[in-house]
Order: sequence, then structure tokens, then C-alpha cells
Amino acid sequence: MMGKYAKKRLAVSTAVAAVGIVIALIVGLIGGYFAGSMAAAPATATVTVTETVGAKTVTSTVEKTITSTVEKTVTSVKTVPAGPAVSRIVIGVTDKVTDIDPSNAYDFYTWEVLSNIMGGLMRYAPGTTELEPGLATGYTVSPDGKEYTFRLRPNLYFADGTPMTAEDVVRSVKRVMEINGDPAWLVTDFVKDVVAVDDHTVKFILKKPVAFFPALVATPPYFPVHPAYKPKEIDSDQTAGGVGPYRIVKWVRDVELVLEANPYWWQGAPKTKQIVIKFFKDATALRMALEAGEIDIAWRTLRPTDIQDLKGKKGIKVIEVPGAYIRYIIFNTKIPPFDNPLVRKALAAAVNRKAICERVFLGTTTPLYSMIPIGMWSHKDSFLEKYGEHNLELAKKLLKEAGYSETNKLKVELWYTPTHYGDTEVDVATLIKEAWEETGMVEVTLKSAEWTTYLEYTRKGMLGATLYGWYPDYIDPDDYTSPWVNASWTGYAYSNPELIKILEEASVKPTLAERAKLYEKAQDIWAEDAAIVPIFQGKLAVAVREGVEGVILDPTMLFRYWLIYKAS
Amino acid sequence: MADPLLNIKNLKTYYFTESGIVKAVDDVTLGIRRGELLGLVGESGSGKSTLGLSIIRLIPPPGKIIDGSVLLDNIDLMSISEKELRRIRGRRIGMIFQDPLTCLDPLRRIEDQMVETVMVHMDVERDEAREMAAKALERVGISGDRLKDYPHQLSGGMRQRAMIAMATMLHPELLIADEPTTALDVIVQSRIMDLLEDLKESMKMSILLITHDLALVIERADRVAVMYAGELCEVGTSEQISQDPLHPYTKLLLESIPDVEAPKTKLKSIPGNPPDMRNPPSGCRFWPRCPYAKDICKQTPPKFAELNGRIVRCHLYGGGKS
Amino acid sequence: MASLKAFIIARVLALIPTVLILITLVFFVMRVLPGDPVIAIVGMKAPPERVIELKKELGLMDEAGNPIPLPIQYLNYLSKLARGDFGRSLIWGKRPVLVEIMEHFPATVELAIAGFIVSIILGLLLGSLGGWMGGKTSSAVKTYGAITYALFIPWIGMLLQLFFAVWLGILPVAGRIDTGLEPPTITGLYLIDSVITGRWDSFISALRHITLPALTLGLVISGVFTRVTRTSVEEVMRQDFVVAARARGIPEHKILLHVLKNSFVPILTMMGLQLALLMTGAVLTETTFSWPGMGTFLLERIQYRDYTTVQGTVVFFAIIVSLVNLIVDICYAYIDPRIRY
Ligand SMILES: Nc1ncnc2c1ncn2[C@@H]1O[C@H](COP(=O)(O)OP(=O)(O)OP(=O)(O)O)[C@@H](O)[C@H]1O
Ligand code: SF4
Ligand SMILES: [Mg+2]
Repeated sequence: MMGKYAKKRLAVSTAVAAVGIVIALIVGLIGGYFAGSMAAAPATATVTVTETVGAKTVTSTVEKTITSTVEKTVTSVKTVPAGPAVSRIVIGVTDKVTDIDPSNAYDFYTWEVLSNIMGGLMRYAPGTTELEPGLATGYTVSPDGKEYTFRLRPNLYFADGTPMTAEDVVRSVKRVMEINGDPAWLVTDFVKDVVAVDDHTVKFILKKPVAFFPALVATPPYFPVHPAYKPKEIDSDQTAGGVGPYRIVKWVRDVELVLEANPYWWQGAPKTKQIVIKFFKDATALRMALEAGEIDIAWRTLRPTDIQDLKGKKGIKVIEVPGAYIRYIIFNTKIPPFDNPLVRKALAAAVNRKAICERVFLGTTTPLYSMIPIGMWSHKDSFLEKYGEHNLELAKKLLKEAGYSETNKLKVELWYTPTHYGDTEVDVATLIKEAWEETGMVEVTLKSAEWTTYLEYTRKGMLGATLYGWYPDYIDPDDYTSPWVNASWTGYAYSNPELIKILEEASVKPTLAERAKLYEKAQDIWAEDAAIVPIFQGKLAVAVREGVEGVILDPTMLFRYWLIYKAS
Repeated sequence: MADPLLNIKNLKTYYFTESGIVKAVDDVTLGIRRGELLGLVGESGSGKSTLGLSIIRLIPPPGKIIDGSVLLDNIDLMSISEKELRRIRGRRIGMIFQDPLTCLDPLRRIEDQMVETVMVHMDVERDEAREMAAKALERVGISGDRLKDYPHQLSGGMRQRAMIAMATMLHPELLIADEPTTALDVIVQSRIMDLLEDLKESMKMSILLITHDLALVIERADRVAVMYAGELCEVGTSEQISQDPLHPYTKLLLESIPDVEAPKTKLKSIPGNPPDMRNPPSGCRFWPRCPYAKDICKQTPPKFAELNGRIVRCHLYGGGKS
Repeated sequence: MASLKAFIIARVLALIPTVLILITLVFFVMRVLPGDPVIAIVGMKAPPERVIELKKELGLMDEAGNPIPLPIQYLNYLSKLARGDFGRSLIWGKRPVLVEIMEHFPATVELAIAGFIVSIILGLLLGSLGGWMGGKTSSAVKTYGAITYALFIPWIGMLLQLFFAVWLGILPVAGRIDTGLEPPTITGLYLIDSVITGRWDSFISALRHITLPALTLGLVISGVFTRVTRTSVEEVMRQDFVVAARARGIPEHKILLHVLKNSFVPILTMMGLQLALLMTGAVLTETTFSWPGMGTFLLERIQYRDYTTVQGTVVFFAIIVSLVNLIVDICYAYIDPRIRY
């Protein structure tokens, strides 16, 4: 008889649940139409969450610090002068935030977020690839180039009011070294030790002289983080941040990130009080949300077709700048026929970059004639000077010299990987094949391999011609040159003793002028060897609703939220 | 007609199939008297079931009742509203079918199905309805506690009894029994027939027994109607039909029963094939198989003729006056 | 009714080998998939030490750096699972897989249920209408089923977004709720949590957000339901008990209920199948509406080759799907007394 009651209960509860949900849904459908824009988000959320900033997960060792921190927050909040009027900008992205922790974050979008809730001793002047002082007022270099001493600004505070000192820089950098996460090499490859000389002075002792060290210091692994970060562990969802223009007031992974102006920031609280990042999973939805006014800015990454469409829309502004992302071909100089410089040069000359940019990417990429991207200091169009664009005459001449003809065709295999670089990759490969075959003296077979296999074969030096892409780790010409020279991951595809010497020299020379000269020379040698052939550079495109101002983008690919505001 | 209960007049029910019109019941006129057991016999496909269903207007599409009337105490069942008709179905006219298993809802207890029927027709409480159901079950020889059973828990014979109980629960004046015993084995068959006869007596109910078993009908029925290809051939008492069949088809049917004294034997086939109902022969529909067929039979359909109080439709009996 | 209880117990016991087989299958399939996951994770910029370190983390190598044989790996994995340890993600801070799953699961459940309800309402309504009325109505319903079944979710989703969000501006394009309106977590389902806590503004917001995705999902899946319901109802309608009931004077609406109950067994089977599918396969809807659920989560982790997360998620799904099937089976036995014996 138990069974009978259980059955009845099951029936009743199922029925109740079903009826409940049905009613809910019907009400929802009706409510949805009427509610309309009535249910705009209230401002209450920010108030409640602010208090939780700073002390989410804390180990017992730092408990003391935190307790005092919280007290200080409460008291100091009262004394802080009124910030800018309450205003909010909503940014939509299809990217995602990985770890809100500089010790392990190693992707562009997370670096962007980190750059807005933290800051480095050095930073890039907005709109350029040039460095300017950040948390430091400046630095000095020892004569042997192995010691960099940074002087911190006075009165630096974390977002909850905790003062920041040189000790915090030391703790944070050492934390990165100890956790040894993905980007840790940006520290460990160069830094031997870091010490706090006094409260406002921090000294880095390097393993060898590194001319671009200030550029490294501008990367997130060098950012000082709040003491709330777990000392020996990756703290992926830590919201305490560092010393930056904004602080996190709400973080729902994959859904939204709410930032609030940091009243303690050394530059003063930014113009826009609240920045909301909404995470989209689909570029079309991102675009429609912009059109519907749900977001003010559609940032990474809109589809080329959507960008094209949005350009014509009223009330929407599209801003495009060159990005830091580059694509190129690797010819493995150890594998015939690519061991023959004439072959490489001929193929480099025949490539039709413009066709790729326009036909495949609808103008959202730009032809690139050097590994060092457009917009970065020392950039030089060496490949264009040497080979021109889609220069079939030159290609034919070189091929003839190498002993090929219409009847004795050069046979090459071009490898690509179908998904890692997006669905467009096969079109890119096809256009390169077409351009090469246009010479009438080349026969190209396209081959593809799944990403990991592709990497493995490349590493083993099994593939002759491959397509790859590059996002920089630090914004310096060095990161656009040395990773390919005598590099194991390419299967040692390219090496040139003279070039190695120049690059080494450029990496230790202290002044920009001296370094620029060396990189210009390096680019010419690069073009002459034609082992790694640049194809195009990505453009950054952002679409904003009318009235949003202060959008400044540059090849650092970092969107500076503290500069944007809504003009009223 | 003595004490008529139901009068079927010129009833026409056709199926409008894609391959043509099937005149399953074509101009049938037949009366059922109070308290009688009327047997309706005919070959498979002759339209017996269609006639039965037509009485309570349950013809499935593409079937349609084209013409005619069915009077139950002067109420024309063909012209009253669906709602009024529903009050008659199950209450004044009950119906049972060949396969009791498929005629019961497999997911509901016997009780639920019976109680539902009672409560649809009568303004009674559930308990009272349940009591009536139990009584009805007991009347057909099933113990009342089987009410809780699901159909699949009963044996074939019991199921048919339950069906009968359900159909007679409200003491209908007419029970249409469409081959009620065909699916059952021989011994159970006669028990069910006994039960039906008992009920007929005790409840003073008329029964229209549809079957193709002429022997059974002769044994059990008061009167017999013989149907062929959608038309009635002959109507008479069991005695008249068995002793003195008039219509050639009835004669052949009788001859095909090997031993009248052993009525459980199945009907044997008559030479020739039943007609294609979409395109029946002109004239008398039986002529291609009729040993007495004359020329007139092929052209002119015979009309009913009364002969010593019996009705027959054949040119041999002056039916050609049409 | 002990037999129903016995039936349930038997089904629960039968679940264990099913889940075990699924886990085993997932484990070995993950090992034979092309592409070295380790290289995929560390990428082209990492040194060889990282590769070894990762192999240790993955349980492919012991502390001394020797490879662990596959059967041992399998046993280790099982013993961890038995302790409820789904492992940790290989990327993004090595978060526990179960935590990550639980972050996304409620959203999927909420969407799946809402979409499911829409599809059942549409499917049962139209399907029984078609089955009941027959003729032209039936063909119209048939066409509806064929069309909705063939609808491509991103496409219909986009149309709805375009119409209701961009043009009319009355419903949001994407997301689950407006900023700052999340109700306190009780079940993780916003609609239910907001009702429990009485936060009506949250409820309205959540409802407005779920309307379009649920409609999209429901519309597409309703095609299957209408088809199954229609054919099933049509079949039951042909059964003798319907005529018998009519012959007893039972009114049509009551007959329809009995017919529906009888048609329900195949519908229920389809529901179980669909619900399981919904849980795993709302990917397209989730993507279109940026719904933070399991579908997109799994897809993304596959792309990132987050080995442990993918494996853990698939196992998790296997268990959920088995549970859903179990529930369906129990409902089945509850509805149809013939099954229990
Ligand atoms: N639903 C239907 N659609 C089309 N034709 C039908 C339908 N039902 C019956 N018929 C046709 O109507 C004619 C009479 O059928 P009916 O079932 O009334 O015959 P019957 O005498 O009861 O036969 P049986 O002894 O086989 O039950 C047959 O030719 C049959 O093919
Ligand atoms: S009318 Fe003619 S064919 Fe028909 S039954 Fe009589 S004799 Fe035979
Ligand atoms: Mg019949």
C-alpha cells in the first residue's frame, strides 16, 4: 500500500511541477511583451557587491592583513571625494576570461581585463606601441644592463584602499615565478631576482642584459596583485585585482563581469563609473545586441560580414585599427625544394596578399610585408621592396633560374590546419595555391592536418611549407623576430648566423634609436632569406553606438576602459 | 409489425473510398421487435457491421449515412443531435463487439471504465456507480472484486462477459452484439450465448445478433435477417428460414451447413466470390452466383415482396414489380 | 503494488552496469582520439618540461617519469570517480571539473525544461489535434512537424532575435538575466529561485530572457513531438475501445483523454530521448542566445582540448542521461500496468 501512496505523490508532484512551469512560461510570454524595457537593470547591485571586494578566498596567513583591509575600506570610502557622475558602458565580447590571475592568464582578452583592473610599472601610451611610466615614475639601468631599478609613484593603493609598496611588486613577481604557470617564462627566462630596495623602489636583477625589459614589465605577469591572491596557487576567480583604474564588483564566469571605477587609482577615478562586460557565445548575437541597444560596444570579435553591415547602420560607428595578430608561411629550409633560396623567393614574390585580405577577409585584414607589424616602431615593408606584390614576372624569372619551366613544373605541398585558425583557413590556402600556380610553373597540392598533429609534424621538421599565425607575448619587435630563428618548435626551419647576431645585439642595446636601426636591418635579411614569409596582419574592429567616445585602439590589442565615456 | 422497438427504413450507408464508393448498406428496411433476438447473417463484407454501427451513428470516415431513418420509439436517431444521441448510446442501446480485449481500454481498470459509463448517464455518486458496476458484473457471472482488475488480467471469456456487463449495466432496450462469440472458443461461445439469452429474458431486452454463423442464429434467434452485398435478401422466423428458406442465397447458406443438428460447425463457402462492393452487379446483386438466375435478374433489381407474412427480395417471388 | 517498487529497484540496479559501460567507453574513446592532447594544451610556445609535467598531471606518467600502462590508468580513473573526484581542468587555474559543471548545469536544465515545456505544449496540442481531427488538419499538422523539424536553430533563433529584440525591442537578444538581478542561488534555476525568494523583478527578467531561447528550442523539438503524438493518437483512435466507448455514450472530451493516455507510451519514450538530447544538445540554442549552459561549455572545452573536463563532463552526462531514462521507464511502468508484470 506504500507503493500506492508513493505513486499518488509522484503523480501529484509531477502534475504540480508541470502546471507550475506551464503557468510560469505563459506568464513569461505575456510578461515578456509587456515588460519591454521596463525591467532595466537597477543600480542596487553595485552597492551590495562593493563590500565584498578584496576578501573572497583568503588563507589563514594573510587573514590579518585582510581584516585590517576591510576596515580601511569602510573608513576610507567615506573620505574619498565624489567620483564622476554614475554612468555605465556595456561592452559585449565573444571572448572569454580565463584566469583573473596574472600568474596563469595567457590570452589576449584576459590580459585586457587584467590591464584594466591592475597595472604594471610601465605601460603603453594609448594609441602607440611606445612605453610610458605606469605605477613607476621611471627607471634606471645599471651600466652592464643587468639591473633595472624602478621608482614607484607615491601614494599607490589597491582598489580597496590597502597601500601598495615595493614589497607587493616583489611578492607578486615571485608568486608568478613560483606558480610557474603558462606565461611565467616572461619572468623566469629573464629575471634572476627581484628585491624591494625600500618602500618605493624595486630592483630587478636579470640573468643577462635585456633591452626590451621595460616592455616585459608592461605585461601582466609583472603586475602587482592584491595580497588576497593565494600565494602559491593559481587563483582563477580572485576579484581583488591590483592597482588599476577599475575594480571587479561582480564576476559570473562566462556570463558577465561588472567593473566599477576605482576611486584610489593614481590617475584619479576614470570617467565612466561602471563597465559591464557581457560574454556572448555567438558573433551574430553580439551584433544584434549592439543594434538592439543592449550593449554600447561590440568588441572582440565581430564577423567580417557583420562589420561590413554595421558600417552602414545609423547610430553605429565602426572603428578599425591594425592589430598585433599576424599570419605567415614557414618554409622549412632543410626540406627540398625549399632548401633552394630561389624557390622560396619565387613563391614569396607570387603570393597575392591583397586577394586574401579582400576576398577571404572582406578587408578586415591588411597585407603585411614584414614580420614586424604595421604600427610598431621599426616596421619596414622589406618584402614589398624586394619582391613587390603578386609579382608573377619576378617569380617566373626566379623559377626559371632554379631550373623549372612550364613543362618541368615545381611540385610543392602546402600544409594548413583546418579549424585552429577559423573556417577561412582553407580559403587562405587555396588562394595561395592559386597565386603560385598562376606562374604556370608550379603545381601545388594542399594538405591539411588536425592542429595537434600539425604542430607535432612541424616540430619534427616533416612539413615543407606550413601556414601559421602569431599573437605577440610582449609588444616589442623582438617578439616578432626571435621566436622563429633557430626555433625548435618550427623544426629548426630557419637559421642565419648573421641575423642571430643582429637580433641578439638589438635585444641588449639600450636605446630605441639603436635598436630600431638593427631591426630594420634584420627585416631586410629576413626578406632576402624568404624562409618565413609574412602574409597579412589582422585589423581590430570595434563597433560602438553613437555617443560612445574615447575608444583608442592600437596593436597592443588592449582596450582601455578608463578612456571611454558616453557623451551626453 | 408487432410491438416494434426499432424501425430501420431505407437506410443507406456508403464508404467514400479513394478507389470508389462502397455501398455497404444500401436501402435496408428492417424492424426489431421488443424482447426479440434478431439474427443478422451474411458473408464477410456484406455490410452487417456497417448496419449495426449505422443504428447508433458510429460510422467511421470515409463512411457516411446517406439516407434513411432509424426510429426508436418514434425518435429518429438519424436526425437528432449528437448530444441527444449520446444519451441513447449506452443507455437505451448497448453494443458489444467481436474482440473484447481491444474493446476495453488497456490502461484503465474495469471498474473505472464501468463507473465512467454509469456516471455519464446517471446522476449518481461514485460509490453508487461502483455498486451498480459490481452488480452488473455479478449478473454476468464475474465476482465483483474483479472490478479492480485491468483488462489484461482477465481471460477472454471473462472479458466478453465484462463487456456485456458494461453494455447492459443500464438496462438498455436494445443490445447490438456484433459477432460477440467469434473470437472465443466453442464452449465459451455457447456460454456467452446462454448468458445473452438469459439477459434478454430477465431484462426484456431486444438483441440484434450480428454473425455469419447461420446455424448459431437458427438455434438461438427468434427471427433471422439475411444480408447480401449491402442488401437484405430475406427476413423470417428461425423456423421459416431453416425449414423453408425462400431466397436462393438463404438456401445456399443452409446447404453449406453440413449438419443442422450440429450448429457449431462453421459456415461453408458458397460457389463463386462475393461481389466487388465498389462495383456490384446490376440487377440482382446475387445473380452471378445464383443457380436460378433469369434474364430479368441481370437487369432489374428485385423489390421486397411480402409472402405469407414473410419478406423476401427475389424475382422468383414476384419481386420484379419495381 | 509491490510490483511497481520491485520494478523500480530492478531498473536502478540495471543502471549501474549501464553507467559503467558508458564510463569505460568514454575513457577509451578519449584515448584513441587523434591528436596528442598534451601538445594541444601546452601549445607551440612551451618547453618540453611542461609536457612531462602535464603528463604526470594527466595520470599518464608516474612521478619518476615512466609511462603508466593503460589498464592501470583506467583503474586509477575509476577509483577516483568512485570517490566523486572528476579531476581538475587542465586549463584556467585547474578548477575542479565538478565545480565547472555545476556552474553551467543549472542554466542548461532551466533552458531544457523551458524548451521542453514549449515543445510538449505545442507538440501535444498540435499532435493530438491532428490525430483527433484527421483529414486536412492531420496533413497540416504533418507539414508543421516536417517544417519545424527541419528548422535550423541558429536561423530561427536569429529571426526571433531580429524580430523581438532588434525591431520590436521588447525582449533581450541574449543572456540569462539582467545585470544585478540574479536571485540568490537555491536550485540554480533563476525562475524557480526568484519565485521562492519572492523577487518578482528577477522573475520577470529571467522570464524575458528565457522566452526566445525556449521558444526556439521548443519550436524545433515540437516537430518530433507533433509527429509522434499525431501518429500515436491516430493509431489509438483506430483501436476498438474508442468505438466501444462511444457506443457507451462517453463524451468526446473524455475519450480524448483516454486516447491521449494510451498514446502516451510512445510519446513518453520520445520525451525521454528528447530530454536527454536536450541536456546535451541544446548547444546551438545556447550559442545563439549566449546561454551559459553545458552545451557551449563542453564544445569549448573540446576545442581547448581540456581532456579531464571533457571526460568528466561526458561521464556526468552519461549519468544524467541514464537517470532521465530511468525516470522515463518508471513513468512508463506507472502509466501502463502491463509493463509491471
Ligand atoms: N472504414 C471503411 N472504409 C472503407 N470501406 C469499408 C470500411 N468499413 C467497411 N468497409 C467496406 O464496407 C463493406 C461492408 O463492411 P462491413 O464491415 O460492414 O461488413 P461485415 O458484413 O461486417 O463483414 P465481416 O463479417 O467481415 O465483419 C465491405 O466491403 C468493407 O470493405
Ligand atoms: S433475383 Fe434472380 S438472381 Fe437474384 S436471387 Fe432471385 S433468382 Fe437469383
Ligand atoms: Mg463485421
